[in-house]
Amino acid sequence: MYKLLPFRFSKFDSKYFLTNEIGEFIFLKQQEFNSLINKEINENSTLYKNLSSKFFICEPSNIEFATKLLSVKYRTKKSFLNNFTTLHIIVPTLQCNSNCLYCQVSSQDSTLSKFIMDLSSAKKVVNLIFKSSSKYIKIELQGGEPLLKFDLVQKIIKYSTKLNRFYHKHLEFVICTNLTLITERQLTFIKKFPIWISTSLDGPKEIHDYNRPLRNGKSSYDLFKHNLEMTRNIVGFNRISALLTVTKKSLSYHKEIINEYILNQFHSIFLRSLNPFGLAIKNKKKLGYSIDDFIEFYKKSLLYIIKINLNGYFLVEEYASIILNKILTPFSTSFVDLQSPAGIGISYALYNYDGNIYTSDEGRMLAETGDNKFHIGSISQKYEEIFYGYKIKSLIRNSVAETLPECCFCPLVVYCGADPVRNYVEQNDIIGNRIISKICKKNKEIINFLLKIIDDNNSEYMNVFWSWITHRQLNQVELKHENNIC
Amino acid sequence: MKTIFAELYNINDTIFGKISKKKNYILKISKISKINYSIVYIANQKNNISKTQPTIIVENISIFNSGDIIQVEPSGMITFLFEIESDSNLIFVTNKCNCNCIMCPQLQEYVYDDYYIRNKQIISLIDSKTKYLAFTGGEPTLKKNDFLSLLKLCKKMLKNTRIEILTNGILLDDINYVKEIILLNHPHLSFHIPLYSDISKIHNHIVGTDCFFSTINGMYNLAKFKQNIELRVVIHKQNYDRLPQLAEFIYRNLPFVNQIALMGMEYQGNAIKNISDLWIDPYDYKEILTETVILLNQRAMQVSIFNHQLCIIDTQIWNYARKSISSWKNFYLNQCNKCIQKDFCGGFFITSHNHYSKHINPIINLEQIK
Amino acid sequence: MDHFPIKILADKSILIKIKEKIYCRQAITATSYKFTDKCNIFIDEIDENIYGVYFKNKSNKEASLEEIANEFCNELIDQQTRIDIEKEFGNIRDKIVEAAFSPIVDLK
Repeated sequence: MYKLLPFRFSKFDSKYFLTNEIGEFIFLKQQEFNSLINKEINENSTLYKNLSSKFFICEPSNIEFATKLLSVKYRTKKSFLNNFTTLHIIVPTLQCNSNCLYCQVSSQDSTLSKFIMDLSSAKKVVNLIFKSSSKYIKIELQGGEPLLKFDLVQKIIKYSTKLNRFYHKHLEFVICTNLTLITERQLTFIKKFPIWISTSLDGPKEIHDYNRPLRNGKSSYDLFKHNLEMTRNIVGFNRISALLTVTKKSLSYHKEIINEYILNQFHSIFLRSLNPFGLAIKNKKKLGYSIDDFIEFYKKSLLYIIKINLNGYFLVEEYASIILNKILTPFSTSFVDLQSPAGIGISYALYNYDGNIYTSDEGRMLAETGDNKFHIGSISQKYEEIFYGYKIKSLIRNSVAETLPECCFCPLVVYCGADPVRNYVEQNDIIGNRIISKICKKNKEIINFLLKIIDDNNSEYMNVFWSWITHRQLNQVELKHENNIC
Repeated sequence: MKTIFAELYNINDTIFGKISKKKNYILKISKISKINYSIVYIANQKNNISKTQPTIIVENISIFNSGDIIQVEPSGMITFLFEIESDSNLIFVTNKCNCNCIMCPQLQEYVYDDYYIRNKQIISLIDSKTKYLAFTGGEPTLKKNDFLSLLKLCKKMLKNTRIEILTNGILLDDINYVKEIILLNHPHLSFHIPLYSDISKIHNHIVGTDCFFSTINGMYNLAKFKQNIELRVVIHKQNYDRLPQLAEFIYRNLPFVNQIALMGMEYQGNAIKNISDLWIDPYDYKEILTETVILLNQRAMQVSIFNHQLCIIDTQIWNYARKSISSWKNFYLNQCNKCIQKDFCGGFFITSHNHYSKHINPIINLEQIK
Repeated sequence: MDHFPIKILADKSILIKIKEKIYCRQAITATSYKFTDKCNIFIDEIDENIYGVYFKNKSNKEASLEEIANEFCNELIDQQTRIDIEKEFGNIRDKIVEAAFSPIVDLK
């Protein structure tokens, strides 16, 4: 009589959906599920073999081996924890020339100088960053608009590079910018270092300018287009990527928005929903939509994007790609917003212009409203006090999804993550109530949507998914019919 | 290994050595052959044969190449222990094995008293420009000290030769054994390990011993040291139906393997006596084979198909089929001469002369394969 | 006819009687939690070894309590199943996680 190995289950349409600790999954008919639980499956049946192969059941004599194998695979899945804090977000300034409707940074006017990091603080930040045990360090410069203080950005990058000669870490930089202010001189500097540019493109001109007006009234879209070409001419195509924030206005224009990405020769898109922070709250009427609206928009968009890929244009939707990696591969993913334990502090941290350190930019936003829940330290403290301190430990302790109510029994927990910051903002509780949680609803719907496509097993759609997962063109994933081999 | 028969003059013992050619072919005797001459002439005609000079007469002298290592038995049988023109030379480390695979093609003929000494000699004679050399058996890892010494010798004498170790991996379950191999620091090693099923019971039944988890753990140990691993799946009636599930199992549990070889069975050794449990016409699992290759290719796993003729597999996967059968045991049917794909097709094992697909059909024109 | 244990009470609220022998308290609580956005729920001990789960409409929501109660019964089975199978493999999961986080065998 076989033994059950750890798994979670839930109903999935008329079937049952099961996952094990590693994210291997199986769909079972009601009858099959009953047989599984009642230990009635015949050991020579295909069902028995399939369950065995995916480590849902095993022979009692094999329990020790199975446990050992599963632990090795579990280690792989959780290996994003190995390196501790890899992503370090530095906010050198809150100044911004833009006035995006959903800005969660409550960015300040260009003229105010008090919201700028001073050089000695910047150096202290970098010193702290390099104390991280991670072999991989990614320093992301956010704001405000970092290009407004490019001299400081340059100094941070140069100082980090110099310090790294001693530490020998794999060091990368990201500059998050609206691209409207970028100059040739700045791009020439960027070209010399391992710097990636992350920018925003919300859609065609009408949508982009509506969402992201510049303070001086000029069209941010026009400047963006012009500067995109200049950027690519100097640093190449691979170093710049774009993402978008979906607002109420975007909801009816999924095709136009996605076509805008193709028009501008982007091969990656990230459909981000509105964060309930900052100006997004103030402008809720203008921008806001229900989570159901977003989910509908996302599903339509994803199907449209898949069709675009099938027509020969490689375009990966990054959020789907991350989840697909979790569902279909044995490997770990390093997306800090969807992991368990949550990434706050242990995978990433944010260093504010004033020397305060937070778990994330949402944590920083909360502090601006007077709530220091996610403030974990300051540059005047020792590294150990901050990163091994009581604050992070207590936050992390409550953000292991496998132990949280509802999540602990949900089969999707292996594909999902904990978001204590979002729970706190929406429900005033870092653990959160999954029944009313918007982020749970969004993730559940999107993950289930992807699972439905996987269960349908349309070979064309699966090829697109694998092209995203393995970073290859579609024609490399498909088998080719050749008249002769050579 | 390739064998031929020759007429021998003045040779009364079993000898071995290396072929060399200047004006004529000669055989330079290896030092361990305990005889009192060091050179044997090779010719294709019997005129002018000396009464005392050891000589070999063969009809077709171009069967030899300079650098070949041969064993000559007084019966006239010549075995090619190493062929300079071949990419698939083997070193038999031992004939003993800790398994009893139901389709094991190994014959019992390579039984020697002194594998180790012979192998040392052979390795010292092998041309250092050789690209590949396989360690096989039986199970090469069974004789640990011999195995490690021979590897060490290869590292010294054949610096640029890739050593392919054909092993069942069971003894590599012991991490200390693996460490000893790693400590030799050989720069070009690869491990070729069979896995026949995703189900432990089925794999164990095919291999004849309870070893599924040891084999997998052996591979994990190799992976800890980033070793090159090729998985070999011999396909027959016992396991063809779960090939796609095996592909998924490999991806989920052994994603680090560098290559997967899907292999047709050779009708030799145990395969003959167990044929009723083993034989399935490959044409009958054609779709499953295609599905398996699709799965592996989607996941960016390297896959090759060995020992399957092109006319019985889907054209979609022709790109993955290799000409894998050593020329000396390779043959084609008469009807294959009409086939336009013959040059690209690996053909058959000589031993499969009456065990091949009944769907073999020469491809006369391109229309047939669309 | 008292086969299905759903009773409609005078004030239109619903009561489900559950035997402790069949469904443990953890299952009942976990299942109840799932319905807290749809209606108000109260769990009480009615008799020896019998729990009562009361369903009442929220002040700002009008829902079909009978439908919710029927769903509750199905969900309760799933939840009890989860707890039962957890007993079988719960410690295996602990072993897996523990082994995964223990240091790798010395590779020197």
